[in-house]
Amino acid sequence: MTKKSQVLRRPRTYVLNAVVAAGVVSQFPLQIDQGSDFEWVKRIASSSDNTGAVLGFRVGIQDSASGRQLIICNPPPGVTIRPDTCFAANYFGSAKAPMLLVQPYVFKRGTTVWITIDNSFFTNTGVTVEIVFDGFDLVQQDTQGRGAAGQLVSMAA
Amino acid sequence: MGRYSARIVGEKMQQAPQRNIWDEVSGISLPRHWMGAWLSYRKLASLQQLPNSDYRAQLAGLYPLEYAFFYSLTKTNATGDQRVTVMQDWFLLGATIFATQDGASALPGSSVKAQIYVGRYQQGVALTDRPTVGSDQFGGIDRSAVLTATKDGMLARYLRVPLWIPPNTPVLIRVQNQDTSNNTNSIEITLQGCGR
Repeated sequence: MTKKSQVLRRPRTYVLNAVVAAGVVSQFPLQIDQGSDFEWVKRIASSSDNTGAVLGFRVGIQDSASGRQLIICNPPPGVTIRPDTCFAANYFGSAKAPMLLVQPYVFKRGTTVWITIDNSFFTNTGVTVEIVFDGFDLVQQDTQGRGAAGQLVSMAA
Repeated sequence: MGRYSARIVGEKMQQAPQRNIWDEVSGISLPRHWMGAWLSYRKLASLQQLPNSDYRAQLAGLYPLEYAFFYSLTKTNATGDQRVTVMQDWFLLGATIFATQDGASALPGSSVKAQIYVGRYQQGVALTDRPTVGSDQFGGIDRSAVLTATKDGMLARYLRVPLWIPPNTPVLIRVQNQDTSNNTNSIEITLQGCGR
């Protein structure tokens, strides 16, 4: 007989802080802990910019575990924006009113999330960005507190 | 054993405890809280705008996938078309818009009109039957609120019922610039969804 373990959600936020100069496209890694998978529920970000636009940068996200781009965009001819990015203002909210994932997404533990920040659209200033992945660590109830033992596998009794 | 099967214990028939399929782990399948993203036992006003738990349960295992449609229009009433072909099963869950000429005190999308065409639905037209002002059909970051420091953040338009878009379906959005300043209006409509 197989014993089913329950999964606990522990509130967790992963934060990326980045500074991107004007006209620059940079890619940043966000490392998911080995201890547990991460369930992504809310998309939050803030940035410093003086363009008058809110969140004056473009963002792209790739899950390295699957290689998937989470945003698809094919720029029209003559427009110099990086493919597979979108305005951060269309993707993130604030802590007060976050952009919610109706279907939460789970990043596998130990993997890397690659975040592309494109600051070439509003080119008149550099931008300081903070991106917050708000969600939960998924840990098994009977293994919590045991370090890296929170992997999601069925356990024999 | 089935989910509601009973077993004999002595002379009594004992009902097996009801399982909550979202709180269990089997193999590498992933659990899912019955309230999904909200994880709150309070009733929230925003919850009424979201797909209910039955609909959300059907989205289990899908991954977030956004389609962004970008336009750069200068003249008043100039139009732009952007089209993608959805290659896998995809569910449309919500929509946001950002336009650089919306103005600091206007709602997101107020400087454009847009119409969304989805192939295979009602002679190719879905969601709107005519060009509609962006702020009437999309959500987004409310710049007027943000710039006055009240910071409402993201107020997206969610669909109460997800719209399934089958593979190989073209999605086209036609946008018309309503801004009269003759400055370039950079517009982006992002369709939030999830796919396989």
